[in-house]
Order: sequence, then C-alpha cells, then structure tokens
Amino acid sequence: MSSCVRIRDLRFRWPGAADLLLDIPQLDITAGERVMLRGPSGSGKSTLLSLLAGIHAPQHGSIELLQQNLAALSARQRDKLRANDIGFVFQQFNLLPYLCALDNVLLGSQFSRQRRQRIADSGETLTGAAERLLTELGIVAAIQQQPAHTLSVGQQQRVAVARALLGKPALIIADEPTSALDAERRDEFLQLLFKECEQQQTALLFVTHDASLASHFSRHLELAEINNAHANHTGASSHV
Amino acid sequence: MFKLALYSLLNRRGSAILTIVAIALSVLLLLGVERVRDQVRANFANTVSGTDIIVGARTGQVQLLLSSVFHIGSMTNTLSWDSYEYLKELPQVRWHIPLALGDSVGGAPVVATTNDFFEHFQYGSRQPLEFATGEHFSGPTDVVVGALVASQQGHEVGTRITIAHGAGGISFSQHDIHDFQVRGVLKATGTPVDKAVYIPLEGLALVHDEVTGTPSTDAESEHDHDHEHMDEHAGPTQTLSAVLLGLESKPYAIRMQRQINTYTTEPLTAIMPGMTLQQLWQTLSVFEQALFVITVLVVITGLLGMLTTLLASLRERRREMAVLRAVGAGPGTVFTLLVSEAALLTLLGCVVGVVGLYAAQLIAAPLLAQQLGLSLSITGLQANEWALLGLVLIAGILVSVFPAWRAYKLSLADGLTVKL
Repeated sequence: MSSCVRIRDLRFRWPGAADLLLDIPQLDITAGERVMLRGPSGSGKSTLLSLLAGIHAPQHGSIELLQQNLAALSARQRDKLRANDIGFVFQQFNLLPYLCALDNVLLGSQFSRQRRQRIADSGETLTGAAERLLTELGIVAAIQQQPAHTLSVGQQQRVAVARALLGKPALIIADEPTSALDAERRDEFLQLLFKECEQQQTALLFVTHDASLASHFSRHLELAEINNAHANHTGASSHV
Repeated sequence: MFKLALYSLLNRRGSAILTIVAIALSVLLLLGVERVRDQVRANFANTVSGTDIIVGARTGQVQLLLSSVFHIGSMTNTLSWDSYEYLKELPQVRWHIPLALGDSVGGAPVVATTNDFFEHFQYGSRQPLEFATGEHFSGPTDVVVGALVASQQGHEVGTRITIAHGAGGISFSQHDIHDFQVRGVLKATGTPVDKAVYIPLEGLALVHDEVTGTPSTDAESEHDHDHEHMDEHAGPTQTLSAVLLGLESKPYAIRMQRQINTYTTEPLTAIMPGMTLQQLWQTLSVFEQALFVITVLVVITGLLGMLTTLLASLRERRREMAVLRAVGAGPGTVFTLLVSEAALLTLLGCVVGVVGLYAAQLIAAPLLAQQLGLSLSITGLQANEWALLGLVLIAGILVSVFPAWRAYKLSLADGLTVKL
C-alpha cells in the first residue's frame, strides 16, 4: 500500500515556549487505513493536526503527505494540497451557518479543481455527488435545502462528513467529531463515516480523547507513546 | 467568492442595510450639494446677458451688481437724471435701460423702468424677455409682473395693484387713488426677473408724490430728499438706482468703464457684469469649498461606519474564516472576501444614493422652481459625478483593507480551529 502520511523526526515547539510539545520519531499511515489517535486534551493533538494540514511548520523533521514533503511546498501549495486531498471534520462549527446544507457540502469542491475533476471523472455532477453523499449519510432532500444553523448537531456533523468526503480526498482528519453526540448517535455516525471512507478508499485519522472507541479501529495509537516530548505543562494550545 | 460575500452579508443583513443606508445618504448629500452648487452657479451666470455695462452711484462693484440685477440689498446712493442724460449720449451706446429700485409690493421688489427694459434686457444665452400675456407699458399706472410674482400673488392682466412706497412688505400709506393695473405678465426666465414687479418711471413719480405727505415713512427712503424739487428736473423721476447699457462693440466697454468711473460731475461706478459675476463667485468660492469639504467629511463618516461594522463582525466571523481555511481557502481568499464585501456594500450604497438623488430631485424640483425660481434640470450623471462615485468606491475598498488585513492575520494565527 502506498504511503498517505509519513512523519520522520518531527519536533515542534510553539514560538516562545521552552519545552518541545511534539517529538515524534516516526508515524506512518498508509492509503485507506483507519487510524485512531488518542491523547488527553493539551497533549498536542490539535497541534499535530495543524502541522499535518500545513497551517504551521515544524522546526525539525519532515512531514510527507502523499509523498510530498510539506516543507518543500509554498504556503499556497500547501493550501492547494489541503483543498485537494484532506477533508476535515471538527468537533463543532464545521459549517457556514448561512448556507444551506447542500451549499456547505459544495464548498468542499469550490477551492479544489482536482476534487471537481475526480467527481467529473466518476460521471457525476457536483450537485449530484453532494446530494448522493448527503442522502447516504441520512440527510434527506428536504433537509439539504435548509440553512445549516437550523440543523441539529448530529445532522451538522454528518453534513461536515459529506463535505470532507466530496471529491474523494486521500485523507480525512476527524478531530473529536463525536464529542458533541450522545452514545447512540455516536455509533451510528461512526458506522456511516467508516462506510463512506471504505467506499472511497479514503484514509481516516480519527483523533479523540475517548479510549472506548478503540474497538472500532483497525489501528490504535496513543499520542503519549509515539511522542517523546513528555511535556508536563497543560494549555499547550494557548498560543498566539 | 462574490457569492460567498453576498451570502455572508445577507446573514448579517441588519447591520449591512444600516451601512448601506449610511453610505447612500452621504453619497446623496455629496452629489446633491454638487448639483445644487452647479445649478445655482449656472442660474447665477444666466441672470444677465448682453448687458455690457451697469452704472450706479459710487458704490462697491458687487453691491451694484447684486442690487441692480438680483434685487438683493438696497442702494444707499442714487445717480441723478442728469447723469443718465450724459450716459445716453455717450458714443457707442446702442441701448440704455434706467432702473429705479427700492419699493416693493407684497414682498416683491418694484423695478421702475421704461419699455426699453422689455425690449433690450437679455438673460441666459442672449434670450430676450417675452410676454406670456398682455404687453408693455402704455400709461403711467401700467404694471408688468414677473412670472413667479404672477403665480404667487395671483396676478393676471387687468388685476389692480396698490404699490406702496418703501421696501417693507406692508405699508400703511396705501391709497387706492394711485392703484395700478397689470398690463402684462412675463414668461418665466428662471432669473430674478420672475420675482419682480415692473412699473414705468412716471408711475414711480406718482407713488412718491403721494407718499411725500406722510413724513414717517419717508425717513427710510433714498428718494425722499428729492421729491419736493420735482419740477426743476426734466425727467419723470429725479434719481435712478442704476442704468444698464448695451454697446455697439463689446471691447469698447473697458474704455467706457474707465471714462464713467472718472466722470467728475457726479461720482459714478461702472461695472462689466460678467467680470463682476466672476468676482462674486470668487468671493463665494470659500463657502462653496467649505460646503464641499463638509460633504466629503460626511462621506468619510459613512465609510468609517462601514469600517466599524466590518471590524465588529470579524470576531463572530473567525469561525467562518476557519471553515474556509479548512476547505482549502488561502489567507488571501479571506482577505479578498472582506474586501469584496466592502466593495459590495459601497457599491450598493452608491446605487441607493444615486436613486435617492433622483427621487429627491423629482420631488424638490417643482418646489424649488415655485418658491425660489431656481430651475434644477434633471440630467444624467455627469463625468465629474461618475468620478466622485468612483472615488467613493475606491475609498470604500481602501478602508476595508485594514479589517481585511486583520482577518488575514487572524486566520493565519487561528489555523483551522478557533479558540474563542
């Protein structure tokens, strides 16, 4: 299987911080893999994600996404790579509240020509692909036209998944997407997410603090085990 | 991108509408003041045309122009009938109009003159006066009224009018012994001609004769001291306020002006109306510029309102920006989004302002014509108005660069998740 994410000797500290937050000698995710990354809050999960997203750059080491070294790309190229090949689902506030569910999904293809191309190659229209994904995720046609802010939290999360999946990106990064859902809806949500990822052969990096979800994943990583920087401090994310 | 800006704005339509209204009002004011300024200037310049020289007693040039043509202010000095006889005989004089001012009827200034006025006086681009109904004087108690006076006071040919002595609105020395009769009504000209009542010089003599018996009102009149000596003079009235002269050749006016100004028998002032109008505008240009500066400040206030709204919206929009960043938008996109939002707001403000301008003009034009005799012509947007609108738009975009830059920095720092 080809490599989706390849991290070597990653070291990162926030500007002005004394201690290293992340020191990850090695992390690999192969294409289509389903990986859960667990760690308590403040352990650097979100920071790792923003490094993967190319929003921030590590002081040392390399991150390769789809065999491309992020450090070698310009900010614009990293934005492009993110638009083309990574779908994000966050804990909340995934959607633009004033757009309808369908337009929110289509937003995923607006900044990426590759995603539009892949949809066209599969013989679907943009709207058709978005509607199919939404329907498969249980958002019926009537709800697709509703403004995002009128949807329930569970519905919003599923719309976010549809957007992340639209145009078959190589990787979905989900950051605590289920923490706002109750247990029943959480399991239902996970099943839908897995099903869609499998269909599209999209790798999934699922970040959570909840160890009880481990059984759902083919691979389970503890951030504390792969990260050598055993920072005691909390509030690592209080940057800026 | 523009669609996103539009939807985002619609989401905040309350503050967006207020911002548009503020910009629209300031644009309306800016263009409106410019228009009124231009029209007033044009009307002003149109007031007199074809008159080469105006002569009055020794006084300020602007004052002579204002009182003789615009009927603004009163002249304290008069020139004698003898001087008029002298002016008439000067070489190159093609026509001459004597004017005696200072009285009023129902608030309208009374201009005592001769039929030469209707024959030779010109306004606008050398348009002669025309009668809407009736004709010029044929007897001493005939009256010709301007178009505005006729419509405001309800005069028509045959109406009887009592002319009072003095410039005040109502006089207590009104007698129906010498009441006048309207013989003609002039067509509207859009100049002060419309606002005046015209009587023959002989008629003025009748009025003043009548008034000499009432000393209490005489004290304020500039004519009174001569009334008792009427018989000694050849003319129908002893003194005049001003004389308008038309010359055979225009270039001769400069020489004649000097000649009249140095006339030794009586101190006189001669002006060339075109030059004096320009002088007057130069005097007034300070006020014009002040007015313009104020309207520009109003526009800036409107744009600052938009700046405030944009800055205030940034906080609630950090999540919006983060979502866009997550789906692959660069920070430049965030910047462009805010700038295009401001451009849209300013553009809509300009459009609403221009629509408002025309609406206001349609409503105000008949009122202004009726009340002030000021004719506002409703024209398309002129080149300078397009330029002003363009400047407002550019200023609006420039103003938005600051919040856009802040949004850019915020979205760089926030990344994909916002910690609020």
